[in-house]
Amino acid sequence: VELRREGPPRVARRAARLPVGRPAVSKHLRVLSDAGLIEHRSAGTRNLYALAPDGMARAQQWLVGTWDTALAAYAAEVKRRKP
Amino acid sequence: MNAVPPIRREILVDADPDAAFEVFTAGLGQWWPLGEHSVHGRDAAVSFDDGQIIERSAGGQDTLWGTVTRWEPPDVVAFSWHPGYSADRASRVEVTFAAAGSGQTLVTLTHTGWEAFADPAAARAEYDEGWPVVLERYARHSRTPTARA
Repeated sequence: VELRREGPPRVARRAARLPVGRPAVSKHLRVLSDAGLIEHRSAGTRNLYALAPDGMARAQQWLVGTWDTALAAYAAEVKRRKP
Repeated sequence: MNAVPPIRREILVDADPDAAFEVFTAGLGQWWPLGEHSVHGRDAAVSFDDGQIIERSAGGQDTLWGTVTRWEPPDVVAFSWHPGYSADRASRVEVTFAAAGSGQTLVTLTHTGWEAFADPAAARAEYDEGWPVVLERYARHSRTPTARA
C-alpha cells in the first residue's frame, strides 16, 4: 500500500523492493488491474502501473462486488439447469 | 481528464456457449440477485425484453437498466448500463462467451465508462432508494473476487 502512492514504478523496480518474486508481483498487479483499481500501460518492454483516479476507488470496489455477486449467481443457475 | 479503466471479471460456467448465452440473457430473471442489486428490491422482476433490460416492480412500475447494443449469440451481448440512473449517464457492459473445453464456457464481463457510479450523492438526489441503499448494504460485507489470476 505504501508503494502505491509513489506513482508508476516499473514492475522490476517494484519487485526488487518486495519480499516476493517478480512473477507473484505481476500476478497481483494483474488482479488489481482486472478490478479496475490500478491502470496499466506498456512502454516498450516496461509495464507501468498507476493508481486509478482517487475518488473512484469506492465505486470500483462496489461495482466489482456487484458483478462478482451477480456472476456467482449466474454460474449457479447454469449449474442448476445442467441436465 | 482520465477515462476510468475498465472493470473486467471472468467466470467459468458448466455449459457450452449456447446454453451460457441463453441463461445470461433469456434467463436473467432467474439468477439476477434482485434482493441485493436492484432499484425496487427482491419482489421485482428483471428481464431482457425487446432489446432492453427492464426491471418491473411488484406494483408494475418499470425501470430501464439499459439497452442492448450488440446481440451476437452465442458469442457476445453488450448493453448500456444505468440501473438507478437516467440513460444520459449510462456506462457500457460487454459480455463474451468463449468455449473453454470440457463443456465449459469462459464468460468475460467488461464494464467501461462507469464514472457515473462514482457519484452516489447524485443518484440519491434522483431516487429515494436504489443504488445508495445497495451501496450501504455492500459496505457491510466483502466479496470473493472471481478474476483469474
